[in-house]
Amino acid sequence: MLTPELIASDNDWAPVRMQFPILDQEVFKKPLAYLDNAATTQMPLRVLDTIRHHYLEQNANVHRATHELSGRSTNAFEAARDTVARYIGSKSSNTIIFTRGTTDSLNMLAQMLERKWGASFSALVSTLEHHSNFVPWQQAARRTGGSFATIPLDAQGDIDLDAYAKLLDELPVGIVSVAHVSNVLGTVNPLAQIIEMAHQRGWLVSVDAAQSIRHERVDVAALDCDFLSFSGHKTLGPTGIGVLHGKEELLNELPPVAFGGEMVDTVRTSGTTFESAPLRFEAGTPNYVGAIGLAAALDYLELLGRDVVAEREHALLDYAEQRLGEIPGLQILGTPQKRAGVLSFSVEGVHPFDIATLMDKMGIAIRAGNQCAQPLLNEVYSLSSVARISPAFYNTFEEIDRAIDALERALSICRPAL
Amino acid sequence: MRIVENGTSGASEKRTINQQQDDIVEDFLSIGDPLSQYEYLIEFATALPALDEASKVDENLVKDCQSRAWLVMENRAGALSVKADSDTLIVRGVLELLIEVLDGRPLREVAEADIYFPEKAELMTTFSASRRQGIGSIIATIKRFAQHVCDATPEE
Repeated sequence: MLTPELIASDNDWAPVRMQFPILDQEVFKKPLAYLDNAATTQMPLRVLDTIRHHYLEQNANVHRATHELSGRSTNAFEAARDTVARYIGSKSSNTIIFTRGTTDSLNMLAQMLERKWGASFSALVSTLEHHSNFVPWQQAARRTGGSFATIPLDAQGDIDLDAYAKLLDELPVGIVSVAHVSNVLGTVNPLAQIIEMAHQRGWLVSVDAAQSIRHERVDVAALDCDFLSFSGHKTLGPTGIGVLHGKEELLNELPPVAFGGEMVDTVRTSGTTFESAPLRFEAGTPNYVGAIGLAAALDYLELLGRDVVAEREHALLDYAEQRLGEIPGLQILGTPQKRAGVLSFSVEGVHPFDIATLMDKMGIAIRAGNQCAQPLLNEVYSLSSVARISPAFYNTFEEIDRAIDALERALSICRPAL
Repeated sequence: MRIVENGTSGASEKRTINQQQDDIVEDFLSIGDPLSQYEYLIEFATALPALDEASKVDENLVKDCQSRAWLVMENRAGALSVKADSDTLIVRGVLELLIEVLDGRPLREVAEADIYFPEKAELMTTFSASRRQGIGSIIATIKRFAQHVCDATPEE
């Protein structure tokens, strides 16, 4: 139950919440509690103002024209690249490719390696991956006749490191691609160890940081990961923008997979040469406004303090875990050593869709479904669907209480009907 | 709770598809708030007998994104016999209502019916897009079955 300390904490964060006016509304005549942040976060006014300012004051295509607006637009776009590089701890902005999102980043990377490696393509992912860090590798292996394998989890929902070591030794050397944080279990993977083990054996490592970028320290230099992907819309930025980071020397060895303007150096009938990274991977007009919005979002997180944001999100998640634990018959998926961002749960005999639909009518937004992680749900937990709650720092302890009340009410409606 | 009680007593069998749909719509709209509408819908789910496990096979499955629904249909002397089940209560509720409206009706009537009650009862407006699509495919599957039997049966 809410303690005076938790209420005081909610009050402390009230000014921050005012940056997110979308949260202050009613749905079905009930106050909204938006707890589906692992799917999409809301944008603060600062980001919306930045986007509006760009369109009102400096919009023009980037990298092309000689006029003033194009110069301003290009400067803002390239400053956004610098912001992203700084945020993830990359020394050079040349390592930052803007994409449409994590899915796009991972598809691009898989295709780049597919073209470079051909039949010797080899990818290793974990069983807890989102489909976007699973299917692109699987399909690339299928097309090339290369290798694709998955690392099993232990009973707690952590990656089985012994099995991982064995797979690294047995399989043809290639790329390991793992989530930093699971979008279903919230497992925080031991990246440093995963990366070190891979590098010792000559493998490359790609990190899917979609679920961690907002609340975990992501430092590509410290981690020494080769590639890292994330999306704008899960970190207070707009949709349709994401990032693929890669070590510069690796990127310049990889072939582009999309072609068009901006990414070329010289084009002749006899052949074409390409720009160096990152431009060689950004064919056509990039989503520069998205990039500028994303940079504003990252600036805002830094202004709030990344550790402060992380601490708040962990506290909200811990509280949700404690409150969910009080409900009889409710099972939280996984007991990983370290959890962040999300809690997935199932209630015996009650379909998650019924739970989420009824909670929605009480103003509570959560997710129900396979969470785009069928290998994990079906093959590990024998479930087709779970409910998932994912608070962000702008949520309140009071909203979690309301979510629990709504959940109890939903269960009281469903259970007699079973 | 049963819709037929709204009809003239003893005459429920004779009510048309649309009259029955109008009764459902009126019932749901008189409830007002969406949560209570869903509570009411879930009460219908309890009235729907479960399908036996042997009938819950892929060939009876109506595909949709978030939950599963099975339809078992038969031509019973020119009339529709339909049984159904789902793993979610909300879909079971809709299935029970569909059965109340369509089961035992002449197949031609079913094939030609315009099933509007989920829309007009405002159930559809509070469903997600994928859920609406799911309900839509359940209705389409029933109508397609009826049409198929009608097409295969020469007019008398």
